[in-house]
Amino acid sequence: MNRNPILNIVLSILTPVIFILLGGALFYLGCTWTIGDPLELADTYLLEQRPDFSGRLDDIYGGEGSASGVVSSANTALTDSGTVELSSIQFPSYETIYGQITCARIGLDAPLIFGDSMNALDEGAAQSTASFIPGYGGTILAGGHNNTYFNCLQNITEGDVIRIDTSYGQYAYQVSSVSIHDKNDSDAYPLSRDREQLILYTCYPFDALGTVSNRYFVYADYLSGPRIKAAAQQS
Amino acid sequence: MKKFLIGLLSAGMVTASCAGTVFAAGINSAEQRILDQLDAPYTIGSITVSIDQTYRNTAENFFLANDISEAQADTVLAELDIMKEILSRNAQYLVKDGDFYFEGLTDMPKDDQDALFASAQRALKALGFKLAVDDQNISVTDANGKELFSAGEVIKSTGLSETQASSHAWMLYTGIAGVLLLAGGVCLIAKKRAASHS
Repeated sequence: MNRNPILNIVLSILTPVIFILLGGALFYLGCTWTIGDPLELADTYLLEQRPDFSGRLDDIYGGEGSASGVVSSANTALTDSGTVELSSIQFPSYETIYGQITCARIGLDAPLIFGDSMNALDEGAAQSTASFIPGYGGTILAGGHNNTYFNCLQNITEGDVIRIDTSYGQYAYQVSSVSIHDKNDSDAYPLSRDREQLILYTCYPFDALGTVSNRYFVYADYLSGPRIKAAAQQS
Repeated sequence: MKKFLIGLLSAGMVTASCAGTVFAAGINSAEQRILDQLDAPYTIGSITVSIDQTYRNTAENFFLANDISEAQADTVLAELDIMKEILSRNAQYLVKDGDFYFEGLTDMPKDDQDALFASAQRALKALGFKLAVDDQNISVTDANGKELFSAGEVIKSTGLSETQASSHAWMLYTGIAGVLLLAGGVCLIAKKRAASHS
């Protein structure tokens, strides 16, 4: 028995289309969670140009190694010593670039962002809001991606000096140690309010694909930079 | 559930800086009262607990960037007392093996869970913010919906898989898979026809 020719045509078109969609859906649903990370890697290589994430964050720093355009009434020039009035500091809001973090020897050069959202991590060193700004006297905890801004941390050694230029002062920290800890080990990142220490972290191993549980921590002690006056008075 | 507890306990005073940059305001007397309350340990049943340092520091950062009034502080502290009282009367669910049992929050009576959330919402509302809770996260947003704080892990994911690249390549891979399946199906049909004709 011959089928309706029109029906044959429709089935000839619909059948492969439906087959492709169903097959693709099954492939995606069934395999993505296992091969999603290699797919991400392939995504990266297939990009025709570097992703542009700029413009998503506020910026009170201005770049170029100095806080251009941000001059307080109390301080006419940035300093790396003495004190700075708390009231004169333009406090960064969430997802705001407020400084630049560098270490010339290893090529570290990243915007310092208050807040550690995905947007912030895409664009530089993202600081936890549970930590404090430089000069306040507490821990400064910042993370960065191991394949972008913080890839160079694998070359950092004890004694290296990390500089943070902010919109209100210039700071230096000397690396005291490097260690690897599980991300859930809260002892690895003491959120002290009494001792100023810079802690940088990134995923480890550096060449790992996918989600890993270990983090590469860099600990650096305060060397120089203006103490924030209100905090200095409280301590 | 741990996130739920931490968010609710701290939601009345935990945010990052508000939207828009401001000059650092310092800690005024109203804010100091709240910080003192956060620093003070409190009793739930047979154990003594205190606010996680993460949230205490975040609150301090918020107060450095913003000034709140004595009236706002009164509201936040009152809500904090309510939340502590709710937790205290549910100690049988929240204390296990001499330690705080976060998962016990889901065993609390639903009315108490709702009351806890409502109290946190009121505390945040006094500061002009909103609390959002889902299965994955607790977040605080400003009046415009911009996220100001997220009660996620302190240490974030910073590996290759977390970098944002093109999100369209998966369509290519799905298409490739579909074509392969189609080709396989065509081959199978051809094979069957050949067998039926032979």
